[in-house]
Amino acid sequence: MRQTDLTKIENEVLEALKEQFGEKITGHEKYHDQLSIFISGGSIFDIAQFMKDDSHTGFELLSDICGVDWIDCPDMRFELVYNFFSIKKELRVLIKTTIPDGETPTIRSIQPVYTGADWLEREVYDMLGIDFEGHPDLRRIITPEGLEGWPHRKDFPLTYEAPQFSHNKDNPPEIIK
Amino acid sequence: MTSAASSKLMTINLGPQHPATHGVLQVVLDLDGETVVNATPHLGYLHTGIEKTAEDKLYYKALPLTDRMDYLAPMSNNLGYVLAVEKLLGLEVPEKVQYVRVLLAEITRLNNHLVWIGTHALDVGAMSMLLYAFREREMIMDIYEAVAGARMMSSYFRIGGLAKELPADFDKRVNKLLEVYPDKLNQYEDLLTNNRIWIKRLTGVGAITAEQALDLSLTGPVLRSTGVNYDLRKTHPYSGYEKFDFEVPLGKNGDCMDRYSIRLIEMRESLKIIRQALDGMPEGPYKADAPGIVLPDKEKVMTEMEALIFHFKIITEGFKVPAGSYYMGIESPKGELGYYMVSDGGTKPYRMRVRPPSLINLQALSPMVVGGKIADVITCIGSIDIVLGEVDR
Repeated sequence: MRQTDLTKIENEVLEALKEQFGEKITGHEKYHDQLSIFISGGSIFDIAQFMKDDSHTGFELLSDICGVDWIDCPDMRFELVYNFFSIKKELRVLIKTTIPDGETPTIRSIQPVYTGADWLEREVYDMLGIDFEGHPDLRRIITPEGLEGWPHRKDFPLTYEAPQFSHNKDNPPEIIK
Repeated sequence: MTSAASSKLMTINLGPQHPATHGVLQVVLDLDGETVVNATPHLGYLHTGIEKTAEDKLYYKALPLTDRMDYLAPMSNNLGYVLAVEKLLGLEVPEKVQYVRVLLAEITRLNNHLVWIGTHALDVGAMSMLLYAFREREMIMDIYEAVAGARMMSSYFRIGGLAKELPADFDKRVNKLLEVYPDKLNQYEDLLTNNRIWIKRLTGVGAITAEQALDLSLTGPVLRSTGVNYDLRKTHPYSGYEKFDFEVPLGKNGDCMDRYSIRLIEMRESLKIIRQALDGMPEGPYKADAPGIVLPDKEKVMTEMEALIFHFKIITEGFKVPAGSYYMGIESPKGELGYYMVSDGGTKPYRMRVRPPSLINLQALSPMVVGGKIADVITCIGSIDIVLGEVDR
């Protein structure tokens, strides 16, 4: 159920972002009652700062960061969804950006702006292999050290193959041979 | 001891096999004597790849995965998932379903807080609380069993409604619970609130400020203990919460004591909501009228051709969900539980992202304990209220 009309408060946020960042805001979409704003990948750090500090927006809470692997579109393979919530405005806005496929897909970390992004970014790194530039401690968080591959990528096998760790790489389990 | 010797740090492992870490949490602590200098949590011992597994399941088959994350609040986890999928489908459920969902979600909050108060008190040294809390929890387990057939992994909420009609003695059971609980809560308060040891172990321990809490993305009682009024039941009402009258308790100091008092008040508020939901429960069907998405009645399947076809098609092929993405956040007992569902128009979720409140609230552990004593680490872990099944998923 796509909608076109934004509420007054949503419009204000969108206009403030457009005024500040111009062409870096590439579009927006309203799905049911939720506003998503699409931005170009390089500007996430500045936009996060603007979202948090500026009196126009004032989104205190970074709820979530989610990575999605669109394997069929190599130009914009990884979609990152930053989920901001403003308690004052009672408004949730999803900021979406894409990263092209490559050796190590990279985006700037927003951990210096929102400390809570620390583990969220580590999880995205762990699951999708996206490198967050400027993150102070980018390690795998949930899977064990030494796991090869990125589990949430669509080309990572879902079933029937045991994961390979660095310690059993030369002697893979029976099931793979 | 010389100053050189005293400044030497000792590193110890708390967990993963330690009963007070509420599961398999490992915290590597650097200690200077008894003072914590550094605390690094290591996660992942319970990782089961639920998000990835869901990508290979039909929508209704991914549902039972969700209550295996936070096994102390199974109904809340189901609720978030079904609401997210219903949003993508554009499906409205009957008012009665909303009421039943709210009622059971609040009973789940009681369940979660009871286990929390029992284990938290046990960690701090009050053994008897655990036994009392588990005794009362048994009533809730019986209600779960009566409605869903399972004591813990209920999966009672379904996409488009409920699994089956409420049992005939449901009202009686809930009335009994409403009758017994206020007294029991008073008993807990008598045991703990004015207990000198309890006060000394909790007051001022693990204190964080509102700015810190917001910066760390904390939610739920941990955030509200710092005085920030953020409860999704009020700010973004879902499943008809706007029809119920209840208060959101707020703390001031953001320490373990505030978190304890907030959860106790929350339990009383939950009782209020349960009472309202039970009294105002409307008549009506227990599932939406959406052939092709909601399973038809068993009796119709046995007697009518169309119902049989729908049943067969839903079970074997599932149903298609329009392409799109939606983030559904609900106020689970532990904080904001979010489901970000991405659909590519197929019968399986393209991506299911869970925003686990336990994981994100656990980020506050290090700021809470650094500079404090090692015994307070246990108090803080208990007071954040984590379930490792949800932290690692």
